[in-house]
Amino acid sequence: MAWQQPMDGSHASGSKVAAADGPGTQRTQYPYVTGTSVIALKYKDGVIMACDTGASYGSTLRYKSVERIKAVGKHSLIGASGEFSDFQEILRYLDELTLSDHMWDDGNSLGPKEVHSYLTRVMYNRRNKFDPLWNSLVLGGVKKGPKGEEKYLGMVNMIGTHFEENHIATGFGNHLAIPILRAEWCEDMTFEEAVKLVEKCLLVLLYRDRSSINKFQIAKITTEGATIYPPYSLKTHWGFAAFENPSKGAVGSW
Amino acid sequence: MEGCSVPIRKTRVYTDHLRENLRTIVIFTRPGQVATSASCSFLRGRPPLASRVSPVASRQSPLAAAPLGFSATDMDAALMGSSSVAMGDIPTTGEHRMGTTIVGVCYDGGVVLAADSRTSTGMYVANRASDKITQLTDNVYVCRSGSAADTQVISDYVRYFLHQHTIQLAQPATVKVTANLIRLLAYQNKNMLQAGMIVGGWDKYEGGQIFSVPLGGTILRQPFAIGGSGSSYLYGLLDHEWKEGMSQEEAEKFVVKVVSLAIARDGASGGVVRTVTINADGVSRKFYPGDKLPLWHEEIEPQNSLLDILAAGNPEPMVQ
Repeated sequence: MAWQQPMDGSHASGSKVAAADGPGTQRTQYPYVTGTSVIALKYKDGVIMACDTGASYGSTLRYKSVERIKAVGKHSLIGASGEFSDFQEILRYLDELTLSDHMWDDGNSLGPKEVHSYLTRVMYNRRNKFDPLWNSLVLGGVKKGPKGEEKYLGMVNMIGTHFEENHIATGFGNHLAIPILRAEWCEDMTFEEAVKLVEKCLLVLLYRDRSSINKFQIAKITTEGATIYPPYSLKTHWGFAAFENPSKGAVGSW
Repeated sequence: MEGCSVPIRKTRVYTDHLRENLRTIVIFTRPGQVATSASCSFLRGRPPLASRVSPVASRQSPLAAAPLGFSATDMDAALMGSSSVAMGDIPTTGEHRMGTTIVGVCYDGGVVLAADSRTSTGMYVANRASDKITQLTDNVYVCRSGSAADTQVISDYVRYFLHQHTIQLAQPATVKVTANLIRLLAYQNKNMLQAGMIVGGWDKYEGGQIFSVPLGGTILRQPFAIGGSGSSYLYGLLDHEWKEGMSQEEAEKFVVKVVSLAIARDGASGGVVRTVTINADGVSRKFYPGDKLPLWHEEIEPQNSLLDILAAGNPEPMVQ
């Protein structure tokens, strides 16, 4: 993830030290402990979100039991990829937000749209100060609106780009999972169908994303509230003839 | 050097090249960074790189020789991971770093923290017997890796805050609060610090706990944690051999083995192994000197002299 070098000229090329504060210098960061893709989609009862439980440190798969999806208030789920310390900080901001929301004691509570809007402002304003929260966030939830129970799913990333969609993926998921979701997603899927689709995407990401691990968490948010299922692993498939003997009929071993 | 009977010192081979550098070191050693009154500079933002080239003694190095012919780029080169030897530079540049091996494990009843003892400036070992396990409160200690100055100053600040917190709370601080104070400083100053820490301790609420605070300021509670440059060599070992609920003796033996294996392969780790065991009964420090550590692959029994070997009459010297 090559971010631009700070412009104060105080660094040799390739330096990993970020700029010091001071006049004429830029502030930027490098991500250290990072989570990989998060995928989510709307289904009949609400929104389903999934990711693996890994956090990498460069190319090392350093932490393997990390929760990257958390519930926010009564109506939303947030999933994050990118720098894990920034995600922990965002969770603290959201704690403050939901606490003050609760303290109003007015019977209202923040829904996913409101939380998404708040996060967008936070992310965009940090980006404008050249000091981003290095994350891609996925925000999903269900809340009663004027047209009845409304499902909401959106994402916002470190530069403040944000949008709503029926299915979302971050990181590698953009390249590997979105095509599958575009082809196979449909309105009002059952929970079983949604889980199967999500698992299909997770498996592809496991095969093809170097920073993914075989330990996943699926979470759903419905009118009843948020449920985060315990971590589990998927079976992988290697029993193809071409895998066992890739150089059959070829000269040389490729 | 297979089959050669010349004794090789257990942990490293000294060559003439290094001895030459030792001469150079006396003239050119740069003291490390400030660890005293200017320490609050990191909270306000460090001064730009160029102005940090000042002859102020750090806690680690008593030498205060003014650098000769230094430029900011030399320091940058050293900060980038001491490729300065390859670049033909003096291999003693840069701030004091603890390329390190640090380990913290929970056992049935408490925690054991362990670390090596090598602090280096570039390729020179500035301190071969440093203490990287630092006390923050009576019941919580922290293992430090990364920049020596950064971790010292963070420890000092957290110790200061915790002292006040303990007075106000009227009871010992919890491990979680301590770890979160470390996290606060590490996260809010992430652009300026290079500090990877493992916080371990015991409190009456949760018993023994280990918290990892790597670069960037993430905080993660774990049953065991490893850190520092030497930890690269330990991931496989721990995946294989870690088990829950060890006894205190098992845990202490285990961490000594683990750190000494890392020392065997990591150039930036070495010296002695220090352990600190924290449980309901208190804290106990142990010291395992470098010559008492187990020998691993291709390491041989240290001797006083070749002459002793010859006197013992065996084995035959290599003959043409």
